[in-house]
Amino acid sequence: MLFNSIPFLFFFALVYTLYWTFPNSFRKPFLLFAGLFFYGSFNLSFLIHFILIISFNYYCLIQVSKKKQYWLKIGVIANIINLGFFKYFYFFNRLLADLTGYPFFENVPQIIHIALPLSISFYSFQAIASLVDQAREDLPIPSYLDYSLFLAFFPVLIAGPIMRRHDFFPNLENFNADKEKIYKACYFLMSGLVKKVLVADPMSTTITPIFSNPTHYDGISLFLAGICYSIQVYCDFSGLTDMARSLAYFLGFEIPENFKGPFFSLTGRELWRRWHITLSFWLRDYIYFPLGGSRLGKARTYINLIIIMTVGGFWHGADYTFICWGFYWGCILALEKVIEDKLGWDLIPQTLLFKWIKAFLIFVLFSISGLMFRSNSARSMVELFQGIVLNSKDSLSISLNFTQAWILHGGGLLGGREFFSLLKIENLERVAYMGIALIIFHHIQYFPEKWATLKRFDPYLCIVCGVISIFLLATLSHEGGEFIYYKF
Amino acid sequence: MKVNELNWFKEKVLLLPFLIFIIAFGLDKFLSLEGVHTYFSKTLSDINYIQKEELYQDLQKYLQTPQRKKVLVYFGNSRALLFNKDYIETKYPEWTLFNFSVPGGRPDYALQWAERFAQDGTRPDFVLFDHSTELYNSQASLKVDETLTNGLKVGFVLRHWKYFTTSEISTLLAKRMFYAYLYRPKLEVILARAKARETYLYPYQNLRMGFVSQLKLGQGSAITPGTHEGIMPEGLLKKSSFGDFNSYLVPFVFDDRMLYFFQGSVSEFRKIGVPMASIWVRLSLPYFELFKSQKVANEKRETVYENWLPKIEDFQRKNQLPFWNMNDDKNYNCNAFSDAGHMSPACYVDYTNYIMKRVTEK
Repeated sequence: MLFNSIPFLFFFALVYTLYWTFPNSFRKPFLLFAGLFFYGSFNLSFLIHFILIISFNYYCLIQVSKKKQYWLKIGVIANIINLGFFKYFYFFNRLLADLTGYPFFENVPQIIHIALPLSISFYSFQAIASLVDQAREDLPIPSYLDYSLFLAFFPVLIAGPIMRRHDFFPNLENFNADKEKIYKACYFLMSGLVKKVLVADPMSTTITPIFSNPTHYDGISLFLAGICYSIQVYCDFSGLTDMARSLAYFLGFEIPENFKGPFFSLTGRELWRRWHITLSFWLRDYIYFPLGGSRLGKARTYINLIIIMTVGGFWHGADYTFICWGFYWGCILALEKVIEDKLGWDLIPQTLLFKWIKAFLIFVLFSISGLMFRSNSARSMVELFQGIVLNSKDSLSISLNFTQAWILHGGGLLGGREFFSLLKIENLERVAYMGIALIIFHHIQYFPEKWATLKRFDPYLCIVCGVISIFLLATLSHEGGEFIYYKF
Repeated sequence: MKVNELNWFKEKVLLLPFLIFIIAFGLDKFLSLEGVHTYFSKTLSDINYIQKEELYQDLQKYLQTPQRKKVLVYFGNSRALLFNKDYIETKYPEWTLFNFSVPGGRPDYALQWAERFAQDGTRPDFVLFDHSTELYNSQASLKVDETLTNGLKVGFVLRHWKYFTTSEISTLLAKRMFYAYLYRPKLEVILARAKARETYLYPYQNLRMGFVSQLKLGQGSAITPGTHEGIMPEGLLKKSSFGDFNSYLVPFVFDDRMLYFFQGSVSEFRKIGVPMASIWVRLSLPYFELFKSQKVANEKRETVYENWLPKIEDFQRKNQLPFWNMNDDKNYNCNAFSDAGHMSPACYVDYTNYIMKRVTEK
């Protein structure tokens, strides 16, 4: 029951109608019921696991509030074990297989089958943050109902944003639906669906064949696949966040933003303040700061940056590709720091032209990392990067010229000059349209104040845009794909 | 602004999403008007489905005629659309055909009609069902969902909801709610037809109207303009076979749901005492060769032929239902095809005789 599915449309229409029909006192328990129902619709047995996790974390929270600090450690470790078991079991098994070469480890995936519970990466981080905040700040203890709703609030159950207590609990003090929230809800739903269905899904069909067979494509296509993937992953995840925020607004809740025009960033550091913001700040507050942050000297700062970004990469997925991705970004952030600290350069250009060039450079760096992030395996990732450098259009013909020229002639007879040419990325015109859409989405997020001037037209604009969006989705949508971040 | 209980009318902004939906829904219905529909529609296959309602009424009237011919009702797909009613009535004067075949016709569509026949007590003299292997594959890379989107009623699908996937039910509901989603109008088509009505719009409208009349005259049988008209040369036929085989049958995973629907149809017609049979319509030779040679079923251990046919034969045996297997029949020799899976009109006389010979013997 993903947000872009028809069953969810019916589910949400029912929840929305009943929610605003019920008296205030019923709304919290009803929302919790809706959240648990939503969770159970993915996997009923994991619902029991989820309820146990909520209850355990609530117990830990109470103990921590009583200054029993060891419960903080127990809670945090238990959450890490829970996450690690479900998410990283196969990874560590493969690591052992790679390191030891024992066949037993190769056979484990055939013997033990472990499914990944919905939202485990997100709710685990929320639960840990909640415990640590309790220990740090001695916050008032929420009721069990409120706490359960904090972890089981269905708009964030697919893929966040990762909420803190201060993001969520103020919403429970006053259930209201003002016009502004409903207008925002409508706009976010439109933008979320348009991003996901009209940009991310078609982009996926362009690049999936390339990532499935990177050795069949020329270097330029492989590089462009990284650019396309950046567009896809932004529209997919930002679209999902927009939908999550929209659903929350419809219910009178305000939850944090995860994206603020990340591809307009002028430095890597700025990018991570604008991309998956709630994760970046979680890593900063609960890993970077406890490691010493930037207080323990410059060298330690660089190492800390590399550590948190690598952990961030590992959080995304249990594969070498994600670790490389995180490490790559850690190195870029550390390098930026070195350039600033040692060379004293200002990383932010002053003129508009150079700002555009710098933003494009950061986008290219992101796209290169996208190749790691999207690779189906470590081997495929290596093939991709090799291919970017080595796969010219005629590299196959050239290699055959030296060895088995007769194959070249035979192939030429069958399929003409192109027979041995590597494949090229298709539907490039689509990339151009999507690039324009990407810039518009970024402009809206980067310069919200400029778009706020249209607010006075909301009563009409919202209806017109809503109807147009429905027709665009109906006529132009592709077969719906899963969300990228749903599997994290 | 605090909102209290039962506040829908006090806080009208809450109705905004419904308002947007209702406006879009209303505007979308405008697209269903035939005059508007023809500006963007590019298909004629929907007419087959639309016309079946009228065909059913004609059948009911015909069955009440005192000195009527015997009635054969055929539930097939695009492999059974080109019969010539006049030929049947001339060659087999005691019989006539009411053809309920539709493009992509599946056993669920047949069951929907079977339930209606049984409910209304509509008793033809013989019912023939088609078994097309492609419709029994749950893992085809190219899904045949015309029946789902054009033919099945929402009530029927919800009654048998256990046998439809969530994705199928979602698609059905979405396409029934929004014509724009069902027909996907393209702006360039609308503009082209609006600009040059004589060249594009009126010929298309005439084609649609002509097709409706042909289906009426042919009692459900008529050639869809532009389809299955010629005979495909051997080289192209091989290519077409390879393409169709990979699109519809690789990988092959037998879809048990189809047998559930088929069983339902058999039970419904048994209730009203109508004799029945099933047919596996002839495929082109290169296509059939792939059925027997490519191990694409049951994790590549079996061919489609080895996997599918025994299950169908077993079903037929259990239900004591005659099974007419045209593909393994050595006495049937017409092999002119307009594509891998569709006989060309040149073979329809032989095809008709193949069926009618067996129907008249029963």
